[in-house]
Amino acid sequence: MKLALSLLLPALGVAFGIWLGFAVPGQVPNAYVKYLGVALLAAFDSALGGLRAGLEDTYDPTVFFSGFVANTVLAGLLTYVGDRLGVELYLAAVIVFGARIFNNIAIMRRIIIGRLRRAR
Amino acid sequence: MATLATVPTKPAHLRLSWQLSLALVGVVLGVIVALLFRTQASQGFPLANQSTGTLAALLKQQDAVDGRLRATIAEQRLELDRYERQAAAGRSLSHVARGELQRFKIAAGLVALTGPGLTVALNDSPKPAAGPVDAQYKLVHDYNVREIVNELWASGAEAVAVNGQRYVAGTPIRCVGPVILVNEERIAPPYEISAIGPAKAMAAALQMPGGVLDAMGPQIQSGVQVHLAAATSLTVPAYPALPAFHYAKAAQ
Repeated sequence: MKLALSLLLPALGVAFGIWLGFAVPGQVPNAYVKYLGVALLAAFDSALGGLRAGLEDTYDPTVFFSGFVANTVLAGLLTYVGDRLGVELYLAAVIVFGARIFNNIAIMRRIIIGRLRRAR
Repeated sequence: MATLATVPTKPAHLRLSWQLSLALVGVVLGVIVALLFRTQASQGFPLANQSTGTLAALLKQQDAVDGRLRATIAEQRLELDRYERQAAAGRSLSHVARGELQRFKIAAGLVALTGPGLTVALNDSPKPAAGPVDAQYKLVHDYNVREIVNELWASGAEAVAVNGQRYVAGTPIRCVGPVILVNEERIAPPYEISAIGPAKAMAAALQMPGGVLDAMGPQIQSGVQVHLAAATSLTVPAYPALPAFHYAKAAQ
């Protein structure tokens, strides 16, 4: 219950972001859609990582933010270099982030299930 | 100090800093999701990704719309004709104008015309084509029709229709899968090209050595049928609509 309540602020953040994304005028040029996709994965991965760290009580804001920025920048860089070379390097970011997202969700599931069992 | 150590700190997931930083990343996440969603939505409705069933349904729907619009065109032409006649009645100036208008309409292909001329009948080979390369030789193609029409104009044709579709300035003849589009109308073999004009000269132009029909030699040998016939009286229908001009204006 407390966990759900503490997620209210992050949920509001996502809602605000979606509103903002629809409210801003203009459009993303097609060439940058790939970058946006990779950035989305990086942001999602960071969010889940932070969530997990919070649940494991190992959360550290410095690690969290540096990870977010470094991951996003690296993913963007990979995509850019891949575009230059004609190799789809951004797939590396997609696979790594994708795998980590599943991983983090699995770990969080176990933590939450464990807590629910202990509470009973 | 001792008391501080015994106070249990809140677990990380209940601290405000944790919630705030997650919220911040959440905002970024939300913005990106919204932007991507908007970009995808603006890609519209890519027809190429639709199933054959969906496309067939769409086509049927459009055909119905097309039919309704055609009916409207016929109606409005009758009305226009009535207005013109009424306007011309009794007034010599408008009578002259009406004659002038009729001449322009004939030139634009908006009036059905009749006269002597030549018909060119084309049909695919009766033998089925074995593969795409063979189909090159056993079918009548859009470019065959285009070249014949072109040659007919060059040799004096005054009005041309392909399977009842009047050929006017700007009429495309192109290939769409197994059929040919003329004036956006799907036509299938057998094709009949009617041309009002000097039948003999037009037939000779088509049959000229190294000419259009000569170039169809391999196709004719594979069974494609070409038949020329002079006619004493041909009728070519009117082009069904006034061409729309969205970009072009009369230059000063």
